[in-house]
Amino acid sequence: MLLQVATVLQITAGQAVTQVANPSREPVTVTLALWRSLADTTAPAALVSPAAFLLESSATQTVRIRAREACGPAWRWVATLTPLAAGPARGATLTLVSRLVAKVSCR
Amino acid sequence: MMLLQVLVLVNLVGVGERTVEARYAADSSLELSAGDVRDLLGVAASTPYISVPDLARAYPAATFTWLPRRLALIVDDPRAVLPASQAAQAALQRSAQGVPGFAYRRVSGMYGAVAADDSGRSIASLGYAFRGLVTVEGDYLPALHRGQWQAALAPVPQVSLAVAGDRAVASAALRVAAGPAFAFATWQAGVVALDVLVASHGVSLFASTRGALLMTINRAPLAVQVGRSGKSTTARFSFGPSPVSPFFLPYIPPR
Repeated sequence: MLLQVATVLQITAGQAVTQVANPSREPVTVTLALWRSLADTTAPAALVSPAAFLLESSATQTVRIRAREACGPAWRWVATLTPLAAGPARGATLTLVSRLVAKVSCR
Repeated sequence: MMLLQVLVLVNLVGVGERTVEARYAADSSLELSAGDVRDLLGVAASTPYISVPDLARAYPAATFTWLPRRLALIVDDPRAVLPASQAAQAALQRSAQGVPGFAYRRVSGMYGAVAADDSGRSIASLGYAFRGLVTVEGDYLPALHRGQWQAALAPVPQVSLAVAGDRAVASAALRVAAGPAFAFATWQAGVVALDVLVASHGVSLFASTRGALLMTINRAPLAVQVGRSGKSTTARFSFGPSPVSPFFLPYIPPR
């Protein structure tokens, strides 16, 4: 699960490139965001591209980030991964949504 | 309607790459801003945004490959039909013009040679080259009991200096290729010669103190040259995949 996103997002001169992978057997929808800190989940002014996408099994997506304000060391890189149901559900379905919060390193 | 913004790495193969802000059009095609298209590809657009399919239609000889999983647009232009590719080729041609041969090799070491002919003349050479930056060489001609030397320096690809002599400096050459300009100055036996070339937007103007003047217009795959040397004026129209060198006047063999 931890191999799906980088543990540290390196922002250099306001720009970053990172990868999001889906090593599982099911496709997942991925939403990405930056938080100002663990206590302040508002998003800093930054363009995250793409911020939401569908990732098939074994696929990898490159994500580019351009910060429009000074990078802060308390920023967090948040990836939310929601598996898609393989088929129509019968009865109760338990969906495990993963939210991975990574540190941001500013240079 | 709010169009989805996307950060794209645009790579013009062999020329350069840059990350730019693009957007998805309503039909899901990728659109680049006119400013970025002008800066990266040298293409002027009349609209604020130009789509990648429109670029591919305008330049069918170039390949535009959009890789959404990598957020990368790979532009392969092997025939140099894009103005940026032509400018890069021309810049490479200028920076390579007159470069000492040793500058292409990044190895260091001694080198030497002995040559003789059937009239009894011979020459022995010994030199040292350092990483394509410096070379020094000494030559000896036993029949004439005469030695000569030469040294060349190419600290950066844009500048090179070569000096040769025997007991005194006999000749020197300085080459500078910076941006759209190229200059090559030589001094030999007290005579100075200067070649200058200036290029802009596919038009090059070459002038030499040796009495040569040449204008070259490269618009791949076509090229037009008009030159004057001595008392004769020559014009040349050509086509082909390679750009015409703006350093050489059109030559027509004498009758």
